[in-house]
Amino acid sequence: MSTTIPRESDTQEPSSLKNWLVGPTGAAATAAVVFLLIWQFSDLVGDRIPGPIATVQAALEEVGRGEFMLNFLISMQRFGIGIALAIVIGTALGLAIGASRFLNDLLGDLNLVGLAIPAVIWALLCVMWFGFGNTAPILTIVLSAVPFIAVNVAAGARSIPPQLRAMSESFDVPFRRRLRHVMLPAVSGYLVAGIRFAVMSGWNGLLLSEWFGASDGVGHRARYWYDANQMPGFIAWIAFFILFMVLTDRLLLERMSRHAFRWRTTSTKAPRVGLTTKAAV
Amino acid sequence: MATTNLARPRKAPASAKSVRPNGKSRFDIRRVGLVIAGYVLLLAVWSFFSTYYFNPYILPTPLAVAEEMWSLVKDGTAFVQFGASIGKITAGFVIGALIGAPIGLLMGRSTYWKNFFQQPLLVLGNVPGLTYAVFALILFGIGAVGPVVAVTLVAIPYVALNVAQGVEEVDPHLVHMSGVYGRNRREIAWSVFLPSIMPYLFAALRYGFAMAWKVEALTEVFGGRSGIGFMIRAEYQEFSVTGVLAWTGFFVLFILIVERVFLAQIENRIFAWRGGR
Repeated sequence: MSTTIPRESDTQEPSSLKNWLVGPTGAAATAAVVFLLIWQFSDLVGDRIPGPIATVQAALEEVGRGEFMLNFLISMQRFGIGIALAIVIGTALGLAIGASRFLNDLLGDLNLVGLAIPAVIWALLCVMWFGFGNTAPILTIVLSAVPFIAVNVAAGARSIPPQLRAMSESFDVPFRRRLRHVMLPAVSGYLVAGIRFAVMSGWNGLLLSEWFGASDGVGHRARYWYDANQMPGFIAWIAFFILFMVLTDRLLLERMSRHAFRWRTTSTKAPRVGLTTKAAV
Repeated sequence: MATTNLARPRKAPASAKSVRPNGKSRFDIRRVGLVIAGYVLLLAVWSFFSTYYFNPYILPTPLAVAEEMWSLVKDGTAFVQFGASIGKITAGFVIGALIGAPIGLLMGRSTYWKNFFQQPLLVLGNVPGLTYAVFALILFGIGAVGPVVAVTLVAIPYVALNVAQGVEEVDPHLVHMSGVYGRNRREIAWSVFLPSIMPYLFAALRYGFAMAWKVEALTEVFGGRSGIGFMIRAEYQEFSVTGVLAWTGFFVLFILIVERVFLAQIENRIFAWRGGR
């Protein structure tokens, strides 16, 4: 592997640089460089994938043309509405499933089925049902995101200490106050974990829905370049998609997760967030 | 912070109530009845809408979909296409595990490699499925290679990150003690490392499989020549909602069987040593 090359070339440098290279940032940077090298190499060997430079050029052109902002705003609007609806529906469903044994048995299995159905099926069905427009993408987002939120919120609702629940029952605490002071705080961390998966799944659903049935939006724009057989433009959009996912995860959801768990002591871990934690079925 | 967020699967709150029935609830008639009632409720709502609100062309009745499914089962199409998909998933997952497990071992044993692989793997795991599907189509054209490669790419981060987590959780005292008592490396790997990695590997299999399954279907929608994704695409192009729903039905049946029967069995067997915890 070419991973060692940048390290060895720096052996004569002062040891602080060497330390940096062996440290966490250096390792991540080396990985990024290796990735770029592989990308460049695959450009030289095969002619199917354009290299990093051509991709960046195409991306800048797309931004300069104004297509980037336009389509991104259109898609963000759909995404925002879809995710907001999914959060409301998913939280309600999750609280119902988590708080009541009856509803858990009745609806838990259906939620599992919802988790299993891939976004592409929802995308195709919604396109067939609603045609081009805003309804199909938004509904696809909702359908592919709700089960993730519901399953996580349900797990949070189950984690409420039964003593607390029993106490609020015997003291006749009204439902609204119980919801505000017992259920929601217990659930918030799980909700954030659920939102993370929901965002991932919903974003994928949005892209697919726009790919198959929309005349604007980021998914449609990617398809436009794909159909025109202009790979640099297409790869540029793919890079935008991945960048968007990573940035949302790091800047927004990461912070939400920390905020949601601020009441916890440091010794207890946040619930499962990340790849090992998928979907908590 | 993202780097430390990989929590342990077995203490995970969300999976605590997952599949393993603890003996007495297994034959709980009330529970089974409610689960069935849930499905009946879904079908009832569905038939209500399809008979009173939409014409059968847009939303066919459950009965029509069931008939379509039955005819697909009868002429064997369902089995052939499922077999094709399962074969691709298995091949892709095995390759992914073979690549991912060594990476995970490396990550668990060395901080440098952990820092090296962590971010790329997390990004790889967050890539939208559409990306895999179209890339597979561009690079490998229409055929079986694309879906297999897509599944491999999905499997790698799951396996690697979980194995890394498992290796890190291995009790160093146990390793140390085994060394003191003169056990060789192979014995330590087999009796100390493997049992401790197993739950993590299982979590990877489980969640990775669910993900791989979706991406595989998606890749087939774009550039398959066989498999359920391909069939869904074919039905979509004929604008047959009945057909798409029928294949969705198979999808759901399959996932339920895998979840309830297959994975639960494996889980019971692998974790028998924990004494039904």
